Amino acid sequence: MNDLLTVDGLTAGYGHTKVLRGISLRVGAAEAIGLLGPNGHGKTTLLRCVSNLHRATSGSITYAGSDTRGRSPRDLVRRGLIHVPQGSRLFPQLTVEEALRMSAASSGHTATWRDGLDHVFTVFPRLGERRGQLTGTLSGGERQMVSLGMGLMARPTLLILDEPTLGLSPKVKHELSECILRIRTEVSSIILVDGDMDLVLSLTDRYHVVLHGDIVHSGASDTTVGRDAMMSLFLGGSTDERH
Amino acid sequence: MANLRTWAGWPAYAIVLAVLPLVLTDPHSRLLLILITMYGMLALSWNLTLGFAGIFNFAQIGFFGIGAYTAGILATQTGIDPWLTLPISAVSAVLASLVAFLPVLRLRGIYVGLATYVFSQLCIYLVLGQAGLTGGAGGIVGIPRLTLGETSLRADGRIGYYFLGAALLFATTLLVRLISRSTLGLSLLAIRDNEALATSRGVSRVRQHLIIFMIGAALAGVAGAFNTYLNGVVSTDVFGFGYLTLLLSMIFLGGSGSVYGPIAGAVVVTLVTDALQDAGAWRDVTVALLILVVLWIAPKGLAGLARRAIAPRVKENA
Repeated sequence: MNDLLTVDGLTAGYGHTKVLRGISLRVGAAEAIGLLGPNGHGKTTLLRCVSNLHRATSGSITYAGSDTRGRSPRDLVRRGLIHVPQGSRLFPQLTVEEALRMSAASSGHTATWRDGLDHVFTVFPRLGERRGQLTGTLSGGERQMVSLGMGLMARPTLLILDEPTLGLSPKVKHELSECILRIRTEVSSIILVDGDMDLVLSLTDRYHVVLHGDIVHSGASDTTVGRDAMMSLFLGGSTDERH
Repeated sequence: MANLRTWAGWPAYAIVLAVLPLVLTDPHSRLLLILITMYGMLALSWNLTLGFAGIFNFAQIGFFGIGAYTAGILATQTGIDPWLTLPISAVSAVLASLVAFLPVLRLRGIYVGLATYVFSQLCIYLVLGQAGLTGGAGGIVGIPRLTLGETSLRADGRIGYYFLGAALLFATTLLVRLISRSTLGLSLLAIRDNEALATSRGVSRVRQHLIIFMIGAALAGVAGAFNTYLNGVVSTDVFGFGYLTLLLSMIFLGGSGSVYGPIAGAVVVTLVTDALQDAGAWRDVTVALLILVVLWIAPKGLAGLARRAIAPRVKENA
C-alpha cells in the first residue's frame, strides 16, 4: 500500500474517559479527506494522536512508511506532517512575519524561509499587508490565516487542519475556503475537520463521519448522496434541509 | 532605511559608555559606573531565562557565584593567565547550568523557582565543604589583579575595570538584542505565550530552554569572574540573597521581557541604593516602595513607560 498515512485500530482517551474506540483511517498521497461529526466525538483527539501531541492507548499510526510511535512532534513536523490546531490566540508578542519566520525555522526550513514567506503572502495577500503587526492584534480571520500560513511555512506533505473556519463570518469563511482550495493543489495530502459540512465536502475527495470515537459512515465528497446520508445520520432519518 | 533606524542607537550607546568615565572622574562615581556595567550584564543575562523564556530560574545567582569562584580558585592556585579565567568561568557556569536545568525538564512555574533556588543555596554548602579549595567561610583573598601589559586595571581610578565592564555590557546588550529577534528568541516567546501551538509547529521546549539556560549561564559566569577581579576577594556572599533581590529589583523595575529594560533597572537601583547608603534598613524599604510604585503605574517597568512615551511618534511614522 502506498498510503501516506495509515491509522489502525486506534484507541485513546483522557484519564478514564475513552474517546477513540479502535478507529482506522487511511490517507493516500495527494488525497484530501474530511472528517465530519458532532463536537466531542473524537475528531480533534484523532488528529492530536496522529501528530503525537496526544499519546494513543493502543493501535498503530504509520506515516510515510514508518511507525510514528515514540517520535517527537518536532521530528514529525520536520518530516512534513503539519498539524494546524484548532482556533488559537497565536503568539501575541510576535508579528505576522516573525511568527511565519519562526515556523519555518522550527520545521527545519531556515535557509529558504523567504521563499516560504513570498508563497504565504501570495496565498494570503492580507497577511502581506499586516506583516509588521503583532498577531495578538489581528482579527479572527486574519489569525486563522496566520495559523494556516505558519503551517505552509513548514512545507507540509500532510496538512492537518482542525476547524479552520470556527467562529468566522460567512464572508471570511468563504475567503478562507478559497485559500484552502489553492493550498490543496500544492500540498500532497490534507485532513480537514470543520463544522461547516458543505465546506468540507467541497474541499475534499472523501469524507468520514466520526461518531462516538469511531467512523460510522464514509463516502465520496462529490456526491449529493453523501450529504443526504449525513443529514440522516445527524438528524435521525430526516433528509430535509434545516437551515 | 528601517535597518538603519534599528541600529542607529548602537554607536550612540558605545559613545555614552566611552565618555561617561571621562566626565565622572572621582573614585566613587567610577566605582558606581563599574557596578552598573556588571549588574547590567548580569541582569541582561538573567532576563533571557526569566523574561524572554518565562522560566522561574533562580539558579542564575548560582552561575554568577560559580563563575566568581572559578576565577578566584584558578587565579590563586594555578599559574594560569588571569584573563583566561574569564572564558573558563563561562564554561564552568555552563556545566553547572546542565545540572540546574534538570528540574526544568519536568517541573513548571513556581516549582522550577524552588528547585533552582535550592541549587544556588547548595552551591554555598559546596563551597563551605571544600574549604581546602575554596577557603570555606573565609573566602579567597589575595586574588591577583588583571593587568594589561604593565598597567593594572586598577590604575587611574579603576578605569581599566570600567572599560572591561563597559565592553562586556555592550557585547551582552548586543547579544541579547540579536537573540531577542532571532528564531531562538521568537520560539522562546512562542513557548512562553502558547506552548501547545509552539509544540505543534515543531518547537521543542526542552531544547530551546536548555540553549537559553546555557547562554545565560555563560554570561553570568563571566560577570562572576569580573566581580572577583574587581573586588580582589570572593566569598559565599556571591550566592547570597543580597545579590538575588538586588538583581530581581533591577529586572522587574526595568521591565522583564524587554531587551534594554534591565540596563535601566541596573542604573536606577544602583544609584538609589548608593544614595541611601546611610539610611540603614530604610534603604531596602525605599527601594522596595520605589519598585512597587513603578510597577503599579507601569506593570511593564521602565521599559513599558518608555514605550508608552515613544508610541505616539511611532504611529505617525508608520
